[in-house]
Amino acid sequence: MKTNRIDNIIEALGRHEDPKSIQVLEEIGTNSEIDEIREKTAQALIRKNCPESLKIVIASAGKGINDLSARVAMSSINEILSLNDKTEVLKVLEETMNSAEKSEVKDTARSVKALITYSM
Amino acid sequence: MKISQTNFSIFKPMSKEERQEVHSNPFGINFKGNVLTSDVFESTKAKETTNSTNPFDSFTKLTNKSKMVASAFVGGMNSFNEAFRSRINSIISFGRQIKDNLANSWEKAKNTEISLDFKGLMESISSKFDNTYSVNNLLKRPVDDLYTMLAIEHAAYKESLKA
Repeated sequence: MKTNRIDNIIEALGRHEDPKSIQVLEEIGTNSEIDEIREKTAQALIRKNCPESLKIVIASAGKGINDLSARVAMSSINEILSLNDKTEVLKVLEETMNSAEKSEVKDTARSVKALITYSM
Repeated sequence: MKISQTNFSIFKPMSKEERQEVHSNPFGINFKGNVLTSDVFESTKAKETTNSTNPFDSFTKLTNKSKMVASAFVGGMNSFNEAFRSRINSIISFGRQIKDNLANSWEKAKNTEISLDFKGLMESISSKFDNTYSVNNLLKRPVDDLYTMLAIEHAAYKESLKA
C-alpha cells in the first residue's frame, strides 16, 4: 500500500479553499490510529493558517501539539514555528491559555507561545 | 630489354601476374630484393653462339651487366610504383567514401523535414502527469470526493498494516 495517495489527498485538502476540507481533515486525519497520518494532517491544518484549523491542532486534547505521540506533537510545533505569519497562531494560543478546560492543553499552549516568542 | 624500353615500362606498371608471364626468368632470381625483369640467360646463349672471337665480347659483357642493373632498377621502380599506386588507391577510395557519405548526408538533410509536433509533445507530457492522485488534479475535485477517497485509502492502508 502506498501512502503517497493519502499524503496527496491530505495535501490537497490542506490547500483546498472549501472550509469543509477542515472538517474532513479533522474527522479522518486527526482521529486516525496511524501516527504518520495524524502527523501529516496536523501539518496540513497548520499550513492552512486559519483560526478554525489552528484551533483543532492547538486547543483540542490529543490532537496536534497535544498529541500523545511525541513525534506528532513535535512535528506540529515545528510546523507552527516555521510559519511566516504567526499572528493567527498567537491569537489562538492566547485564547487556549485563557479558556481551555484541560490544564495540560493550557500548559502546552503556554509553552508553544513561549517558544514562538523566543524564536522571533 | 633496352634502357629505352625500361623507361617506358616505368610508367606502365604491370600486375604481378603479367610480370610473371612476360619474364622468362624461371627461377625468380632476385637482385637486391627485386625480381629481375629481363632475361639474364639470353646473353649467355648469345655468347655461346658468337664464341670468344667476337670483337664485341667485352661490350656484350658490359651490356649484360647493365641489363641486370637496369632490370633491378626497373623491378625496383615497378615495386615502388605498385606500393605507391596501392597507397594512392587507398587514399582515393577513402576520399570517395567521404564524398559519398557527404553526398548521402546532404541528400538526407535535404529530404529531412524538421518539424515539432507540439500536440504529440503535450499529449506525452500530460500522459506522464495524468495521475488521478496528483495534488493538482485532486485540488480540482470537490471536498466530498476527497473525503470519500481519503476514507477508502485510509481504510486500505489500515488493512495493509494489519496484514
